[in-house]
Amino acid sequence: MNYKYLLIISLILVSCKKKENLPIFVIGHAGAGLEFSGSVYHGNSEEAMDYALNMPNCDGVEMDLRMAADGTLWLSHDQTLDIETKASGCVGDKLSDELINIQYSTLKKEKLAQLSDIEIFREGDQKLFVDVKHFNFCQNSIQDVSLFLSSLNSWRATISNSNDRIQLIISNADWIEAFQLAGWNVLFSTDDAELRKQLSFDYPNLKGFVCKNGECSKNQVDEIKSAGKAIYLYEVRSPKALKQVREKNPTGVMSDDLQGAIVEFK
Amino acid sequence: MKILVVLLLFLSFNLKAQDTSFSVVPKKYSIGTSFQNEDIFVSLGVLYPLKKNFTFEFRFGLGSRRTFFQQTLFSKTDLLLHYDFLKSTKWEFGPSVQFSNMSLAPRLFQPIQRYFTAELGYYLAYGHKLKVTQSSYLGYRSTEFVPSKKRYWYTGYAFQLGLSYEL
Repeated sequence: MNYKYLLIISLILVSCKKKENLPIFVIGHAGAGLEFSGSVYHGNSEEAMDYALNMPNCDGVEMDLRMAADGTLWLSHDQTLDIETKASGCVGDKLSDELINIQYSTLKKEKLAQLSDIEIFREGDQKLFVDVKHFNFCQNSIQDVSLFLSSLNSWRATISNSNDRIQLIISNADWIEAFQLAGWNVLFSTDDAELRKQLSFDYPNLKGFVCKNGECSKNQVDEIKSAGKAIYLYEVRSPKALKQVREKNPTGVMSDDLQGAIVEFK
Repeated sequence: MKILVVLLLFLSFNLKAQDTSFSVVPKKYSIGTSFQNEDIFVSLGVLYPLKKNFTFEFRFGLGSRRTFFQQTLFSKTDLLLHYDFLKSTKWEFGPSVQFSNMSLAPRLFQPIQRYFTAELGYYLAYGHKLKVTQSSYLGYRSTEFVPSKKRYWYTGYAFQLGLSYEL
């Protein structure tokens, strides 16, 4: 008889659901989640992007982008390859031939993904947030902005509705102008409220900001939105964090628990 | 929906038919937690001893993150077969196979994702009537996004802790 009670409790729990659907964009962080135990595929792999973009009600994906020594663009989050693969060194010091066979140290052995090879990005209407990693840790130097821009421009030409779909996330203020002049939609990633104010003033065409959920209060979110800018929150994994995002009501959430965010907001 | 049909069929058994040669009365009840890719599931189950040290187990569980924290039904039914390779008065240990079906339904009877798993692992139990159980599984799973029928196959895991009580 215990099972009958369990069934009744389950039905009550479900019937209690009175969530309001908020107009929050739900974006998969690094595809279907970064450093999240529930992620089916490794973050920034082609498999993760495909999985996320096929998930019902997913509005888009975020990816981390690094430039190789020959100007090709690769999806990679970490500063060095040593952390998640058996290779060593930095993407920025390698050539395509060296990167093409690198696999993540996971059960599924996903390959390091080259941006131009990911077919699922080419068509559709889902948003693509490209986090431009400008720093080469191994050389302790900033990469060549002109070459990075040129490579990104070549990729943009292969993407349908690119202006509506692609947003670049920049964390080096010196790079904002170059990308804006080339016609990119630019978001700036910072947790510093004062810097956000300054950049809004200096770059009125800046589309918005990206901020850690724990570092951005509801007041700050409201302030950014009232200034006509977009605000996306990341580092959102737990159900508690998803509730916080619901209260803050940002433009979008880049969630590591993509399925959880879809359940929460859609 | 299929899960509910199975559950209702299960509930329709006469749980007091103890005098028949083949009884549907379970010999043990179980409660447990399964840590796995998709969620942390809390399950209730029944175990039926079969011939030659085989035990069949049926479980029904709910994903705690989705169901309890996000009020979205995430149900799971498991069919398991344990083989007691080593068995003493206190210990049971052996290989185990698990087949599971999970369903995430933000709206009742409208699942958006379904999961199927087939996994191999081991089962360990310690105690007399009340046993502490631990089992781990590794195997294949598939996720199906219901609207698009798009399906993904990948390796999955489950680490389970629980209690079973012998009647």
